[in-house]
Amino acid sequence: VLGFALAVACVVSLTIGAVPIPPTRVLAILVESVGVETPVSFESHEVVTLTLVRAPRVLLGALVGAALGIAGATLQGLFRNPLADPGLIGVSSGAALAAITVTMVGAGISGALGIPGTVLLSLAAFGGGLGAVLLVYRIATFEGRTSIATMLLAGIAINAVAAAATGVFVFASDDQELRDFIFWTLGGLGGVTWSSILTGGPLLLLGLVAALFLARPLNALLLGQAEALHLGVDVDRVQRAVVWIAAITVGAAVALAGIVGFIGLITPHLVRMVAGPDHRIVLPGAALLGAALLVVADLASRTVVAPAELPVGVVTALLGGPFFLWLVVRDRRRGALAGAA
Amino acid sequence: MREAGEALARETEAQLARVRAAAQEVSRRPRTVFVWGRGGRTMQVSGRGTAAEAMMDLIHADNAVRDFEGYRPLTPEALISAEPEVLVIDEALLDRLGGVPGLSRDPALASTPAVRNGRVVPVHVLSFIGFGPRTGEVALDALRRVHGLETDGPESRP
Repeated sequence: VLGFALAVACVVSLTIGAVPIPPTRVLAILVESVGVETPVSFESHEVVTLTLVRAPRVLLGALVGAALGIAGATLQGLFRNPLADPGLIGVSSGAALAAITVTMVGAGISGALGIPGTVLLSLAAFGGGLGAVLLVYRIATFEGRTSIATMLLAGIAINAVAAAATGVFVFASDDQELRDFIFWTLGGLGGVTWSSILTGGPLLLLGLVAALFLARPLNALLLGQAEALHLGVDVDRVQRAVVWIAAITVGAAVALAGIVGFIGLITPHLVRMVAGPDHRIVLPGAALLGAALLVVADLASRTVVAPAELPVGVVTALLGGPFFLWLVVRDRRRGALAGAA
Repeated sequence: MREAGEALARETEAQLARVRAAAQEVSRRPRTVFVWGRGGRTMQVSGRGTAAEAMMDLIHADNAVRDFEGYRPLTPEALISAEPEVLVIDEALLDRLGGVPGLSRDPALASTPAVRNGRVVPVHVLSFIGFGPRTGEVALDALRRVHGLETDGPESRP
């Protein structure tokens, strides 16, 4: 069902945009791009729009959404806490700190290294996210054992420090830098190119596939750490794997799309509400649902106020928040009624 | 004090008159997009009723983005369909993006006539949109470069 929803979301997204392209032409352009002649005529700006702007956007939206969804699901499994999301262990704040640093002093660096500023921004965001998570993980690891509770606290502390450091830069920045940075933090899939997919895509895919192998150990962890250990699960290894996977996939996602909130938090819940807590279903479900949600959110972000663009992070929170609340309230009501009957 | 003020006013008027005279001589009004920032990904451009639009008007250029007011992020597809012939961009931003070659890496920008033909005009944003005593001077300079009247500038090279 979710796979179907994702497919529909992708097709609809490909046909709608600021530049209207009829579905028949979309089909024709796609078919002709693999070398088959069609009788349908189309214009060259439609080809550019579709193949160079819209298609990579939809594809990247799906990949990033899937990564955020599955990272959220694995982290919630690991922390055994439904409030866990990738931001909790420092990915977003670390990436944001690195991003504003580059926004302010990056011109010199990118000149010296000979790489364009936008690429540098992505690299820095990835590095910052990864760095923050590894720092949190190191702090929580003592004599070879990682305490989940300490990790949570360390994450909160690192988030606060990174936010404060970001605040110092915000204070020192000029109008232009501030504007660029604020929009960066709101996320967005604009300006995505095939080359950014080629660099970030493999990381995201790798993380997605790796995460799927964690379903069984995470199920065992649902019973508790000691119980999982008795069931033969190497708890420390699972923790390491979850942290690394979350750091890499979310780091790559943030590098490519900025900070897109809420998807990592709510998709696992939505899947669990429908299909129960089995991670063998929750993990792939969260990935597919996350992908579909972000594709739809991005569609809204680039069409609702077209030709302007609403930051996609705003859309995910604006649509996701109320919907999530509605689900929670409905679920409680139903639970209460069932209890009464 | 009063005399200095009057002298400044006279000079500003004279400068603006020169700009208008120069503007009369160009016959075409190129479709222009003013880029003022890039929030990580999307270009922030000037819409209707902005100082940048007033400046374009002064130098006989048409704002190609008139569907919204103020400065907003423009969705890349709309940038393609706006088909700007000239791109006026903050010079610091252009540096950060890696100059005109850097712009060409963005598929939406690369497909615009402005970037294809190398008609990218870097300006100092605050003097370009901050109307004041220097506006005449800035406008005259921008006018030459936007209309490609200057032959030795890098931006008039294809």
